Amino acid sequence: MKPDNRLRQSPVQLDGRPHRTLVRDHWPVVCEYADEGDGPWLVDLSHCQRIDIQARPLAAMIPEGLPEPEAPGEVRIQDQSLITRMGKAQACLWRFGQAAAFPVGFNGTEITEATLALAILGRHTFAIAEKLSSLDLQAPGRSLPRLYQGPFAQVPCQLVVLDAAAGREMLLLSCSRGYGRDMVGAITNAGAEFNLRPAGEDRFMRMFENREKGA
Amino acid sequence: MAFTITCPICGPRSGYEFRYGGQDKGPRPDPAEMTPETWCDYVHMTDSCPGVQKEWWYHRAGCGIWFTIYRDTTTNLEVSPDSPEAVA
Amino acid sequence: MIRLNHLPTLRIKPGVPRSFTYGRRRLQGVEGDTVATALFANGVRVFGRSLKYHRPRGLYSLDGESSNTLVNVDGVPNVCAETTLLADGMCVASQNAFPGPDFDALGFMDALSWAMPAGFYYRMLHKPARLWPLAVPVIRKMAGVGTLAPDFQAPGRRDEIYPAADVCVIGAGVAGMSAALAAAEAGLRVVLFESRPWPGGAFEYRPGAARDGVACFQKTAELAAAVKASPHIRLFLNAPVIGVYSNGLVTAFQRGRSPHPFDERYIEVRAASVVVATGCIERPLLFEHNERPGVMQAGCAHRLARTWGILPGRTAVFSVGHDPGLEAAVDLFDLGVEIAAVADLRQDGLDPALVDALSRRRIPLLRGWSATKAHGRRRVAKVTLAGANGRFRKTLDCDLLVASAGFTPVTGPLTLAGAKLAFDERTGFFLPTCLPPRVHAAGRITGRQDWHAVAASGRLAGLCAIQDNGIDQTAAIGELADALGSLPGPVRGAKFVIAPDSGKKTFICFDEDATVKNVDQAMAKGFNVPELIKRFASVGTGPGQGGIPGHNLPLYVHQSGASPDAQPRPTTVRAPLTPTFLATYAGARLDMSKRTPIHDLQVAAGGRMERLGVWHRARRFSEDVHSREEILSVRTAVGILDASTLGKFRIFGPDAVKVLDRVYVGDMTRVPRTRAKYSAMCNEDGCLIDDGVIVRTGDNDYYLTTSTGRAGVTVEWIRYHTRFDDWDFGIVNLTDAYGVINLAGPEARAVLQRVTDADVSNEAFPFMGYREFAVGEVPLRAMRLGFVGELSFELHVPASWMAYVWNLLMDAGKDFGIRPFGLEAQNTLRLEKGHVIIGSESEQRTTLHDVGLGFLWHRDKPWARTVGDAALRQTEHQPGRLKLVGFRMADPSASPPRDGSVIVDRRIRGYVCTARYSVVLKEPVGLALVEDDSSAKGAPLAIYEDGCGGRLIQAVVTETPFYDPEGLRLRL
Repeated sequence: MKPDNRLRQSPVQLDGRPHRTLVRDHWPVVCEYADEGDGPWLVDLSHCQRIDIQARPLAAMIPEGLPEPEAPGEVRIQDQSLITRMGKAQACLWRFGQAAAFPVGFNGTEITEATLALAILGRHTFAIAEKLSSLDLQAPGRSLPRLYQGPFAQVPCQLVVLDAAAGREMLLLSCSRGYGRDMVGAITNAGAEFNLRPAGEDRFMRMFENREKGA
Repeated sequence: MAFTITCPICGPRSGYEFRYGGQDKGPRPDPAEMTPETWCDYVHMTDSCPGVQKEWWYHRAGCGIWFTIYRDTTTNLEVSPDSPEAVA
Repeated sequence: MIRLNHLPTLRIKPGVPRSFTYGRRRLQGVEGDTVATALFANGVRVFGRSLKYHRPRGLYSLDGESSNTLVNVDGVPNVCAETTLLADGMCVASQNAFPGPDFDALGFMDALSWAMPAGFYYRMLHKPARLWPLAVPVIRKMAGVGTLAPDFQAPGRRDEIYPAADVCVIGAGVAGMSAALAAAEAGLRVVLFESRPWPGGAFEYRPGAARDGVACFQKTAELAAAVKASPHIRLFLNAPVIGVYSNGLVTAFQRGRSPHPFDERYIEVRAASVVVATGCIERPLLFEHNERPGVMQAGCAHRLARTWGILPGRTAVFSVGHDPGLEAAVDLFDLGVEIAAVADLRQDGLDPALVDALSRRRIPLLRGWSATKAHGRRRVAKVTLAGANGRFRKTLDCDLLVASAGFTPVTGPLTLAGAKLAFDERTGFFLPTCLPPRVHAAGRITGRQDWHAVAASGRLAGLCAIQDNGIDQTAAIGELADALGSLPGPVRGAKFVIAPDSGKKTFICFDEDATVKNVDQAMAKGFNVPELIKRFASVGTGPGQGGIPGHNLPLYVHQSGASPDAQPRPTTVRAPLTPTFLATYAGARLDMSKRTPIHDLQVAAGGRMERLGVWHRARRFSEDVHSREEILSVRTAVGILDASTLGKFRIFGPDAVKVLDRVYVGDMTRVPRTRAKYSAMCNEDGCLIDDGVIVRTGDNDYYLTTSTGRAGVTVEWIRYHTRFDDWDFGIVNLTDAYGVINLAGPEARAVLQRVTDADVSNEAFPFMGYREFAVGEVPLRAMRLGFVGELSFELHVPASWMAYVWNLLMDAGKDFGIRPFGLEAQNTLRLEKGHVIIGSESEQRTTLHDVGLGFLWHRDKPWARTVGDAALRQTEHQPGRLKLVGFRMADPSASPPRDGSVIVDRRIRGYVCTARYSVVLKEPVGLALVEDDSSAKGAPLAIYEDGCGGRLIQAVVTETPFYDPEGLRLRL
């Protein structure tokens, strides 16, 4: 039997020189780019599994072992999984890194292919964001992480503010896959004045592990 | 559309994130009792009143739900559903 | 020119030179100069020529209140020299003057002003009409300011920013900074806009002592330092406000963020509370030749010296009406300007300390006097002063006339926010009588002029802003309001409007060269409200946006007795409050579009991409605009189309079928598991809005497709029409999740069979069938549909696998001559089959019946309350409707009429939707919407095509499909 070297294609191409790469579930994943600089960074996470869940009541349909974000906008994290509450009866599940894929039940729909996922990390993350969106991503008094649903670069997006502490800023973004090139273009243009550079998944995972773990 | 609309899920947002769904005219009429006139009224006629109106909005750039607000059409400001002017 | 370089208020660095050119001259300014101050420092007094009369114009104010100092900078016309910071290497040139502003060939126009009364354009040049085309080029050449090349590209980079804020403060003067600091102390996020390049406003340069004995500029600098130190305040300098709207929306733009003077950034803020602290500008004094170069406002003369270290003249006469004017006279005297006399409009109410200071310096003070006429051709040489009754006169030599009637509050942002203004007798200001919720006015705009009172009113507004953010401040507000009561209140303003003997060359509006005589002419014509006079006489419609005439016009009209209003009434203010490039409003110019997963493969294959809605799609793959090769390959071998833009959705849940029955015209209770059901959606009027297929992929689980254009609104549509029903269903937009490959042609099966183990024979996978299998081990969804009229497989491939599967099929199809086809080929192919494209063969009025798809309608499901059902009933047999028909040309060798050509029979009877030459049928075929009485088979159609020269093209209604009417080829 010949080796299975079929490759999938991310909706996003970042303009950088990959330093270390691997293939996971047929996705070519850049672990690290050469010369990533010291932030801000842009990371392609489109290969991470994402599942849309719509159910009434929602709680019953959340995979076992995962906490339920109770109100819309709330986000819960368990190990390498993240679950956002989008509405009364809708949630979205994210799975990062090497964690095993979630089973997709009847009320779940795998949307990994439908959307792209990016992360903007590090200093000036929110300075870049405010050039692209009027959403108040740093509204005081809101616990983190938090989900915002709204326009980013004029495209309807799901945005998760994971951390806003100085130097550890983390903003997750997902939108329709087809916008890949223009979305990366918009973010890259907005980030140019802050020296935004592409970074690999490793940097995201490191920062994710070290994020400010709030209540 | 400079005004703000309060989405029950996402909170107050720029009016540009929403699509207007017209005055709230209640559920679709029962076809059994419907005449061409009542159908036409339901589909095409609105009160177009100056003042507070209950109306539908869709958060198209956000959470994707339809909801109603009360808006004073003369000021484009939302009116609390609890206020005395807010009658359907 | 030597600068005063010892002043603590300087904003320039005298030691850091900036060189630039002005016309052919090579000049030098210093860092901190604006283009205007650099030119003035180099002796330039005449900056340009006026719009109509080509009168010399000079530096009058410093914040762009008039068009006097519009220049061309680096090829960009109409740049305001006063608000543009000088950059090294700038090329500055004057405008509307030939050969130059000092000697202008059209200067004689000034003597012809009698020929151009108010409303000149409206009244003089429209009769006889044939003169107008002759007059236009002449007027264009002589009037107007600046020229713009047709291919002009606005220089500079633009972007946009949406800073989050709880409080937005407009104006970083003493009041604005105090308000910002108060709000920031409560932890609120404050955005502070300042149009000047530094904070401080009116007190920023003034050496006079505040009530505590400390110089105003010093106290102001301390405030500015506190603002800078506050982590909660974001100060945007060089950032004029464009507009203020309801719900705390404030828009602004920031000039020259980087060394490039034309870099601009659009700024939009939504704050819970807005504080307007825009202060005042000076109210121009109206007298004969009041805009001669050498006449300038008190603040302009004073700031030239204090901020830029430039003495505004050698010998000055002052004609003012406010204490800061007296303060300027004293200070400029101390800095070395000879002051011949100071006339003050006021008889009393002058600050005794300033009166004393003037007398100690032996400067004559004339109370109740004002300038009545400036003399001198290109520059002021003399000035005539007169007492209030005009009886006593004095003419004095001078090269500088400092003239001001007092202050005018900058109320633009307040009016835009919705505030009502009324004339206030004490201050002579238009003051807000009723502020909209969460909008506050503070500082000199309220008539206060004392430093401490201005600061306190700012602080009070700051506290109100905190209250607006839900933090109770009632006690603090009460306390501060009391304290403010014990500080000096609003200052009495001069009511003086116009000097005696003025008229013919007394300019009420510099931008439009409008004189008070023009206003008189307008009033003589019967115009009696400022709003109308403004338009008829063009007063305040120029680039200064009413900065110069905004206040004087209503006062003058009111004084004339012509106005029916009991009190002066201001003219309407509209955004933009400060004009700028249209490009700035475009901001970052984001044009977000979508690409399919194999966009790059399409381009590499020679695809001519075009934008359709949000998507980029391949129109064709060769030079041939008719795509004949692509069409033939589908008809005779096999073609492959990227149809990824099709809308795709999953609907599931216990009530999913009810949802489908609500929006689809067909009966959705009978969707079989292995077959795709074709159906359509109508709007309430029964008009066709979408068609597609529905597949039942499991119990209560459906997968459906929509047309490309409807993909973005389908979730919205479905949720709208079920919003009262509380049904339990989920809907997921999977449009981008799957790429779609349409593999079509007689060889399609052979190609597909090469890459899959699944049985794709006609028996195992018949027409309209739905199957799930793997191609190259990639699981996908497959349907057998026939839009293009051949055996075809529609493969829905997970997006990330799309390129891989596409390449597999291309390889497998090589032996069969596979080639990609585009939208043009698809359009002709489906036309030959008589298949409709919604939007091409339908429009707003076209019902399901009209296009011949009435058979899709299931009339017996009243329980579903299907959208459009009522209208479908009513229109089913309605006469006089446009019906979709096929047609062929009477002469088969004729070329097909253009899409959209009308069908006429004495009147318009319909139009051609799509017509193409059919390669296979070797003649043109088309679809048209025509009135029902012309829609029978064999009916003649006369087509009027643009450019047909009246020779109608003859066609005949025929049956569709044109190609393979039995549909045998779909079922191969």
